[in-house]
Amino acid sequence: MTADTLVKNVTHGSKKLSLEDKLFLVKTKKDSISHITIKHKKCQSCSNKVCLRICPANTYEERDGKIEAAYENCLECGSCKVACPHGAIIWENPRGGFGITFLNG
Amino acid sequence: MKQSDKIEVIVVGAGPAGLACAYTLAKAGVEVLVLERGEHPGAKNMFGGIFFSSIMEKFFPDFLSDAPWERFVGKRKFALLTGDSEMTFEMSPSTFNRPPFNHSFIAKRGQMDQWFAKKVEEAGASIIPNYCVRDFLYEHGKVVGITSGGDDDSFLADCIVCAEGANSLLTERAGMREKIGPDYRSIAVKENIRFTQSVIEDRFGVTGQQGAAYEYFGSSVKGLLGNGFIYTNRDSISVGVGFSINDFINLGNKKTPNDILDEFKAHPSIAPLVRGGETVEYMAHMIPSDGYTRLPKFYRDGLLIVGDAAGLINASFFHEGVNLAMASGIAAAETIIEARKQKDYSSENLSCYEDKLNASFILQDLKNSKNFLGFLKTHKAIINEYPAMMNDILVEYFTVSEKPKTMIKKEIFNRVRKTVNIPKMAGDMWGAWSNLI
Repeated sequence: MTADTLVKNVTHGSKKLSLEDKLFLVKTKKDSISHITIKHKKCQSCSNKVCLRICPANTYEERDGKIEAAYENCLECGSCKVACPHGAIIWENPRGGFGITFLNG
Repeated sequence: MKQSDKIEVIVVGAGPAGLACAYTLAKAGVEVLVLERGEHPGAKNMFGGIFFSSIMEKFFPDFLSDAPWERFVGKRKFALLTGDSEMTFEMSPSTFNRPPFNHSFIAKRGQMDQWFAKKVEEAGASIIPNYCVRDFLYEHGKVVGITSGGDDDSFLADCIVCAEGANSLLTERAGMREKIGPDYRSIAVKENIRFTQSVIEDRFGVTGQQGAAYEYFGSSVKGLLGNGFIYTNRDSISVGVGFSINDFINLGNKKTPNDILDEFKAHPSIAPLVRGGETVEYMAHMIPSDGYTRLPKFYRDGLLIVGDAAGLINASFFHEGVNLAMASGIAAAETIIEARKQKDYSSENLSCYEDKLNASFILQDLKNSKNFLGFLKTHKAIINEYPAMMNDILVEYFTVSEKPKTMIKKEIFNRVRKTVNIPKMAGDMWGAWSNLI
């Protein structure tokens, strides 16, 4: 066995989960109303669109030039609201009892 | 609104800060109601993994035998990572491996917060879960209650304690602080990966209830201001990364937090520790990085802010949060108990809360590490260049060859002199000593 395959066997022993796989593991009670509102007008001048990258659950997506939030996937960290330079993301806590429940937090 | 809806004290949030406050108040005979937006205390909470327990042990002397901790921290490792190498300092002192175990326990917040909440209820406080506070109610500028948004869904109180956590929506809305921009928060993501107990013990060299806490600095998170970690639970490990949101934006990183976590897990030093397990949960949370000079206002008429919402995190090497949160909750409770004697919850009368924070380790420690993040931000060489250089030096020094060691030393010295500005590095090192430690 060459050193390279040895390293490969050691370091890539477990299969890599996709983000979708990971999100599937999160215990969530889905609400019918979104706790995230986007002020689309404010997005128009935004060149950076950091919301598309900062979200650990990839909640934000750009569709036909418009930012949309798949709020059901939200892990409720609030980073998107903090990161948005235009105040375009209105983020409220989900209603009491809805949203995520972490078991191993 | 019915008069019967008025309570002495309302605490918003059943985390360590809110529960420590409620416990202290209930023990003093104060009527206290804790409102928690999750389905149970701890449901929305995530931390790295170490519960610093000295304050909890004062509340409950049977903490060691009764509390739901996973493992005690008997082994600590501080590693510097470069892109593909590791240098490590590891310690396992005998004192950390016998009671009181350095008051450091790896735990899960869901379990720990529910255990604590039960004790708080036994002390006489009420806790309502599934209740999300939307805003404070005001009367002549004084905070007099809270509302969940519905017209008749509100509670009045003599005094409110806001323990809402790092995503400080109420604190911001009440004008207690400037808008929370990316420079005021870090983000952390972690996975819980399950193994058998014997794999954990063999892989991390621990036995029985002993556990290991590994912290990875240097360029562990793609050169961002932050770090990676692994903590051993009983039959799982917590693997995560945390980094400054501002740094993430400024570096125009095309990666996502999940990518950065996956790359940390794939580092040649980390992959053998995480391989083969079953990921059972993926989580994210923010960490305050307000720092000593940019903390929110701690009080106003009828309102006190505690824990993460007050920015009370020691964001340096020590990563302490839970103990600061609990201590601030107790300080708030003591302030209220004093104010209650005069039935006066004006900001003037509540101002001694800040005096208490100043007199305790909470603000003294924050003051001590006030330059920590700022210094690293302006001295990125400490994260990226120096660890790599140190690694190169050690590799060269220990590389087997037939060259005389004196020649190797000379070559190393010459190369270092060419690649770095030695007076600048000496200055950075002195700066690191005075600002980071």
